[in-house]
Amino acid sequence: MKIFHIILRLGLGLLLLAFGFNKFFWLMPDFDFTGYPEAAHLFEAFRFSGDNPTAGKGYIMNMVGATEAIVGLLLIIKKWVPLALVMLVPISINLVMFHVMVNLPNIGPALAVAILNIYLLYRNWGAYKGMFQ
Amino acid sequence: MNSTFTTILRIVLGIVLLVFGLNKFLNFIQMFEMPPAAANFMESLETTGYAFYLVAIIEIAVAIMLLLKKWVPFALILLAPLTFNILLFHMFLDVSDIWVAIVIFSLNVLLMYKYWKAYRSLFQY
Repeated sequence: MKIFHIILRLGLGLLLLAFGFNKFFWLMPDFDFTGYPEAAHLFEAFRFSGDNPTAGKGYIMNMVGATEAIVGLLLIIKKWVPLALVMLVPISINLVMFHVMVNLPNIGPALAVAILNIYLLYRNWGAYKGMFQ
Repeated sequence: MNSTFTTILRIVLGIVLLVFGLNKFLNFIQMFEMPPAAANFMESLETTGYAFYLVAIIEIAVAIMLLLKKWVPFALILLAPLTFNILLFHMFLDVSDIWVAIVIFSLNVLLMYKYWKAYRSLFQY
């Protein structure tokens, strides 16, 4: 069971680190949003703050990328894990909501991240009790 | 944690959030003109069909918790991502209307500092 949890933590960490860096260096092939105009619009607005690259650079992709990379790193080196999991919550929620609302077929990785996030939050619940006094 | 100053900050932040949260459903505040990139960004969020409702519901929930003084540290951490994005949105896309964002950011940070004890366990391992 212990090894299982280490694998979950490292797996989520590596996944986030890869997706985080991708938002700066765009190493992976671009997503194909053909047939999903809202998804494409949102993605472009996030990346370029406009409909096309001439509109200037957006801030969201860098912010989400940086957060993902930091959370990924914290999970991998096992430092401030409860904080890392809280930082990931808004990203998990929006990954899932984005795919549910505008791009359902590619929901797989989003669900994986969200489920791992929830499970690890549950495992570390003791660290959050102080917030509910 | 219980000084008059903290209480005032908490109630002010609660009221501000309640007003902005309700405004996303009822639209009683006149919206200022936004630069094109900001307007495009907002429009892209509207097309998701959920983003502004989610933000509004979180703002109202946080406001109620702050006003009732229930789970205040949780309310503040729930608000943190919104605060952060309100600030960044104005910094990058609409800097002329940044002052409300700065007020909300300062209140959020100051209150988290006052309730810091509740967050210590996040940094334990």
